[in-house]
Amino acid sequence: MFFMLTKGTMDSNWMKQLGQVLAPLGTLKLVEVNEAMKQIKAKNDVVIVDATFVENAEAAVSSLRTQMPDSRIVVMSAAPTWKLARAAFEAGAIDYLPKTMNEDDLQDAFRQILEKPLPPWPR
Amino acid sequence: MTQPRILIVDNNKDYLDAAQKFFEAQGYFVLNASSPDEARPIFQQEPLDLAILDIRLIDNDDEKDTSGLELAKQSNPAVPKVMLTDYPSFQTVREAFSPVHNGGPLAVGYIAKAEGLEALLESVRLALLPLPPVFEKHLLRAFGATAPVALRNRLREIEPGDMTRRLRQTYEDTASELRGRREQENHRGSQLHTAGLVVRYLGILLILVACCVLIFTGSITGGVVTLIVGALTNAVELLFSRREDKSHQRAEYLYTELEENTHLVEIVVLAEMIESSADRDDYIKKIIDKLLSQSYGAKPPSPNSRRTKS
Repeated sequence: MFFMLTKGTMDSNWMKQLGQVLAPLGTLKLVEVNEAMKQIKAKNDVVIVDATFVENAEAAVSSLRTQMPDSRIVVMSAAPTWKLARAAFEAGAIDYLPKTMNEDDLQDAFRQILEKPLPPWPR
Repeated sequence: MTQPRILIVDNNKDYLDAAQKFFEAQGYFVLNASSPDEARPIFQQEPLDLAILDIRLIDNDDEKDTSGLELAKQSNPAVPKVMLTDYPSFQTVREAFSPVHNGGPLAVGYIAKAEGLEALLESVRLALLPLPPVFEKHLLRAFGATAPVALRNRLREIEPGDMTRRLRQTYEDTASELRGRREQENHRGSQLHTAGLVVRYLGILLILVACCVLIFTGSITGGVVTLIVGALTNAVELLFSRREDKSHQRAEYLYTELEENTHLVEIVVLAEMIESSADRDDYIKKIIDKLLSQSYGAKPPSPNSRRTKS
């Protein structure tokens, strides 16, 4: 199951497109940030953090990873930067993807995300 | 304390010289290489604690040159790598932090040269963090960081007044785990001791039986066979005895770690006596900084060395 963290009833063509790209791999559900803990329960759920809607993506990833250590957190950004990518990975994200990726590459990336081992947790 | 041994690989010889001198001044033993071909035998033949690899090792002007990342993939996976670059990009960050065959990321750090040598030093120090593993695990969990390199950034985001609670949580969780593990180890040691005693007495009994067989029946074959079995049983008892010794050593190590943890709790108690929450937080940050700085003789970074947030 894929969960996209969102604010209010925000929806967009891009999210619909993402849902179609992810359809062969699983269902995409939009979830309010403050509802995330209640809905994201299964091990290996993928949580997509849109850097556009989150004030501090690194803090969001860190918080999510602490509260849901078995979930796979992906940060997506319309304007990817290497610093944000580094911060996301260091906070525990499993991947960092640009929103501008073409559909085939995006589907491949998420397929690999489902197969990747979780990033290491403190030993 | 022994010097940590690091390898720096960069095709820019001026930078390589400067970096080598810098790290040597900080107490590291530095090996260097200016190409993947020079680096490979070093990875194979020299004991290394960490490697710093420039990403473009063949052609600095070729944006497709990721020979440093390829070298990282091909080299000893047990050596942590910090990737270095003049041309940072999210694509190379992705590749650097992607998991490799052992499940961990290819690199433990990624530094742009523009961030300066002190940022590189910080990344290296954190990668070589020598904190006791149980304490480190709980420290990172209490502060919501997944790796030492991320801990410093997390400290900036902790709510005011919350630092002391988290540090106390760290010590309590560490003490609880260490006590549990020490009890298990002591229990295991007792079990091995008992098993060893049983085997020893069985061995002695068999030797006595062998003697009786020899004396009363005159059967040399029977006696010798029983004697050999008895001797082998006593040899098995030696194995139990060695495992018991190792178990006791582990229990002692855990006890030492528990004592150190108790000593550090006193620092938390002192922190809680500071009235101003801002001063208290500042004190806690200094404690954590000091803990993070305890590396094999390497000096802590200057107060001005800091990564800029994105």
